[in-house]
This record gives sequence, structure tokens and C-alpha cells, in this order.
Amino acid sequence: MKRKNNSIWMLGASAAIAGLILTGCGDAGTTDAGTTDAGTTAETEAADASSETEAESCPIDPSVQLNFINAGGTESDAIQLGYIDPFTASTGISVTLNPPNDLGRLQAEVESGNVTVDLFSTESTTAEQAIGEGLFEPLDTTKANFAPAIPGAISEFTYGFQYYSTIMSWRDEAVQGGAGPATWAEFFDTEKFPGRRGLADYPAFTIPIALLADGVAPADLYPLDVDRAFNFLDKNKDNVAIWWEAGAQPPELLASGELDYSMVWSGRIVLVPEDQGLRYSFDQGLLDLAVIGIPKGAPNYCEALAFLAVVSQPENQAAAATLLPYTGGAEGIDQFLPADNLDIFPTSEANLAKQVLQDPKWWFENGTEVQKRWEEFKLNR
Amino acid sequence: MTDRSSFLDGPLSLSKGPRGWRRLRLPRGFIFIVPLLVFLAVTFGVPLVGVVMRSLGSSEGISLKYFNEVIQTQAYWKIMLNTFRVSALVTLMTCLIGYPLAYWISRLNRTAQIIAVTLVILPFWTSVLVRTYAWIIILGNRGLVNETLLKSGLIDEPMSLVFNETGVAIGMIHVLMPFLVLPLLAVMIGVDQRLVLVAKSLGARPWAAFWRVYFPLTFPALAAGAILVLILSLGFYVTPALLGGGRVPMIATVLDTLINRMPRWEIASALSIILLGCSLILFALYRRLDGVFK
Repeated sequence: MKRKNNSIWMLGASAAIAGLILTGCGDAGTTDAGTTDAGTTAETEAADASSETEAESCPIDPSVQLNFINAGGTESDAIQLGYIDPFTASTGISVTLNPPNDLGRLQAEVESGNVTVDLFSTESTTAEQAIGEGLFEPLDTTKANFAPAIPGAISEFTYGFQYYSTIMSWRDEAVQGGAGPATWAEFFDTEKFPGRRGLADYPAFTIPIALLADGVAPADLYPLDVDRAFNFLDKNKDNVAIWWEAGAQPPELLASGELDYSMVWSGRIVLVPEDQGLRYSFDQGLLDLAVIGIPKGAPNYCEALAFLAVVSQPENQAAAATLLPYTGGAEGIDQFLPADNLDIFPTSEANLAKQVLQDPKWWFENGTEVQKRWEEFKLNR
Repeated sequence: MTDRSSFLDGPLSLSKGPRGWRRLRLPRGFIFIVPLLVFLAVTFGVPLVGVVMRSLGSSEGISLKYFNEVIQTQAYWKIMLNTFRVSALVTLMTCLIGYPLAYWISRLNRTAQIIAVTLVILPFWTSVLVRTYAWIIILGNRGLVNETLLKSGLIDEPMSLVFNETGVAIGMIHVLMPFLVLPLLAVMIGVDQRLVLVAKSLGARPWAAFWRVYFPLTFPALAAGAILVLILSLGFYVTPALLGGGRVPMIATVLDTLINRMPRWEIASALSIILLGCSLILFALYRRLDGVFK
């Protein structure tokens, strides 16, 4: 009797455990970015607009589904509104967004030899590293209908779709309605501006800003004097309350009073309503370009290229910018942007003059070493 | 059930056959576990072997250069020690809070016991992210705790309870408490209360009766539970990442950078193997304690 009970119990237990493991192993699923089939048209508008030879050399198959690894959050919403909706409407191809965009994911895909990802977005420094490791396909812009782009936006491997800026922001209450910090040096000045600071836990942004705060002129910023940056950060780390990792954190932490001053990515803060009491400034902002590339060995190269052509259109970039105020590389985009509010964009004339440009090539060469020192620096924070 | 105390000489026992041979005696019903074992071997064992191979530099020939790099990079070594330090601290606090808690629960009546145990297990039933964010709301500068203390005038400005090591410790203790309390509770309920009475009747004062009779009886469960909590807290990722404010580097956050951001998988593999080795040593200690005291 006892033995029979034991066997049945063991069988039941192993079945239950296997079931639990299987359900637990099920991932959260990717966000289904809308699969409205725009009809049964086999031809695409993009193919119509381009010459016949182009359409023949890179055929579009409307039945495929594109897989796009991106940063997620508000960026996903902006990409959905600005690029995926018009693309799906014109070609009938659905695009699934698949955050987060860790470089490790791209490397895993390409290394496995069985690439399931068609598009990958990241910022310039990581993209440079990906290019160096041969993880991207070269972009053949003649094979799809790309809109004219400003110089520097399209490279051999990537299309720049977001000019974003790392700027300083603060709570109105912390400065009691007065003026906020005007330079990064003032940002770290605890006598003039007492309170808790927040910095990004990414050396790619915090190291250049530390140098600017220490008095390095923007023109002399690159190549970076890493020792000087770490010395500065060592001296000031006690004033830093939080090292944030997600772009959505700074406005939240500022609004909830955890921080008084913070580094922030401009698109996250410029649309926050006035009554939340958050202020920002583009002075000495760090301008960088986020790019999209096609992973090496991607299954749907032509369709992905067609998607990038849709991304390159200025009116689509303006639509995406209504949710996340970054402009892309399209030429002549200003006419599509709200004329009265141009200064929320890092690329407006006024803002461009104040900012410093990031240098992805330097980061490609020195990124690993700096990251190691950053880890060690973390220990003493 | 037969008296099978430790796993190693329980279900899979080696028995001396009639000619002095050693024969592997499998427990009844072992056949039902085989599918699960195969599943585990494929989904867990094979990738683990892959990690070991990667850490030894399989594509270029076996070498210890990645382990060398890990050991020589001060950052990783120090973060490993930091992880052990935080884990030890958390384990100590969990024991200090968990032991009295388990003792108190063991003395309650049946209904109250059920309620109390449910409250202890409740963290298991909520998502770890929800739990962690709840701590931010409770401990934040404008959170429940600080607002109450400020309004009652006990403090002038908010205490920094989260986004630092304090917050991480609180979050981890909250999550790990059931792992200590439940086994301890089981043992405590089983302790014969008459032993303490006998000690008292022989003239021991209450504290001596507790310390010299009750505590030694529950100590094995406490030690085993403590080592379990220690092993679990070594691998914690979500709680230090969210509640630490970037200032509590644990080995898991370093591995996240090495695997996802940089990425340098060989170093990550080497570091993982080292961590696995440490955990296995601790686990062996756990089994030894568990077995010795039974």
C-alpha cells in the first residue's frame, strides 16, 4: 500500500514540477506591434515609388514579419506611431518590437548562425562596437527609396534615426524658482546648488560630462582624459544620490523628490507638463545619434531595408517626434516640426550651438578598458 | 518511510552485494523522475557545460587566461568580496529577525499560526518586481516611513532608506525570510516542550533553559537555513539593481554588464564558474550540517 502511494505521488510530483518549470520558462512574450493586414495587395507603395529595377533587385514579400530589437518604453511607442504604422499600411508587413536592446542579444543572434532579428537599434557608441565586431549588414541604400539625409546620418552600416541629447535637469523647488545650473561645473557645485544629484550609470555619458564639469573645453573633449574624469567623479561621488540606468527614471525620481538635479535624456523631460515643476537646459548637452542597423544574416534584408526607407522620411520622423522629441537624419525636417516649439529638439539651431558631439570611434577603441575602470569605480560609490 | 536522512546515502545508496560488490540501489518510482532528469539535463546541464567550455576558451584551445583575467582584475575580485559581505550581512540580519519570529509563531495557537505562516509566505506570491517597487514607495524620501516620521516630528529631513545598501538589505531580508523561518518553524514545533520544563525544574533559570536546552536543539535548522539564505543572496540581481541606486554592485549586476552590455561572454563565463564553485562549497557545507545533526 505504502509503495503504491509513493509511486503515484512521485509521478504526480514530477508531472507537477515539469509543468511548473515549463510554464515558468515561458517568456513574457514580445509586444505585438499591431498586425493589421493592409489587404491582399502584393505590390507595395515603396516599390511603386521607386524605379522598376530597384523593385526587382530587392523584392518585398508582404507575408513576412519583421523582428525589431529596440530600447523599449517610450521609444517603442514613438517607433510604432511614426514608422511601423505607415510601413504596415503601405506594405502589409507587420513589425514586432522586441526590447531591450542589449548588445549581448545581437551578438547572441549573429553568433548562433540562426538570426531571427531583422533590425537592431542602439546608440552610436554601441553601434560602433557592433560594426567593429562585424554584427551588421552593409546598407545598400540604392535598393530602397531613402529620403535625402543630412551628412553623417547614414553610414555604411547604420541609419541614424534619433538625434538625442544628454542634458541637465532639476526640480524647480530645489532652486526655489530661481535659475538652475548653467554649466556642468555648476551642476556639481553643492554650495550654489545644494541637494541630491543623479547621474547615468553609463560611462559613455558620465565620463565626458565629468570632464566638462572639471573645466575641459568642449573642443578639447576627445580624446578623453579618463584619469581626470575618474578623479573628478571620485571627489564628487558623495553628492550623487542615485546612479540611474533606465531613461524613464530621472523624470520620475525628480518628480518624487528622490533627486534634486539629474542628467537626463532630453526627449524624456521636454514633454513633461509644466506643473510637475521640472526644468531643463540644453547648455553643454552631449549630442549623440541613435542608429538602426540590420544584423548580419538577417532573414528579411529587403523588407528591413524598405522599413529603413520609411524611417528616413521626414514626415514620419516628425510623427515619431511627437511622442519622443528626437529628430532623425532626414533633410529638411524642420518644415514638419511645430515651429513654435523647435527648442525641444536637440537639433534645433539654438540647441546645436550649445552642445558637444559624442565620438563613437573613441569609445569603440577604449570602451572595454573604461568599462572595467567604471566597474571598479562603482565599488567605491 | 525508511530512515533516509541525507540524499547522498539515501535514495541512491550503494549496498554491498553478496559477493562484496557495490550495487546501486535506486528508490522505487525512480523511473518516474527520469523524464524530469532528462529535461533538466538538456535545459540546464547542456548550457552549463557550454558555459564551462566558454570559460576555458574552447575555440582557441583550453586555457585559463580568462580565469586569470578575472582574478587579476581588481574590480571583479572586489565586487565578489562585496557580494559576500552584503550576503553575510543579510544572512545575519535574517537570522536575528527570523529566529525570534519563528519562535513566536511556534508558540501560537493553531489558527494564529496559520495566519502568521501565510503572512511569512506572502512574498512568494507577489512578483519580485512588484515587491521591490513597493519598497521604493514605502522607503522613499516621500514614502510612507519618511512622511510618518517627518509629520510626527521625530526627524527633520527624510532618512535615506532606499537607493543605498540599507534599502537593498531590507529588500533582500524581506524576500529571504521565508527560507529561514519555515524550516526553523518546522523544527521548533517538533521540539519537545517538556525538555525545557525539565531543565527549569532542575533549577535552570529561563535564559539558561533556553540557551542550553532549546537553542542547541534548533541550532542545526538555523545553521542550515542560514547557509541556504547565504547561497540565495549571492545570486540576487533584481533587488540590488533596483533598490541600490547603482551603488551596491553585486556579482549579478557585474555579470549583467558583462553578458548584455559590453559583452564579454568569456569573462562572464569564468566569473560564473567561480561563483558556482563558491556556491557548491557552501552547499556541500549545508548538506554536511544537515546530515551531521540529524
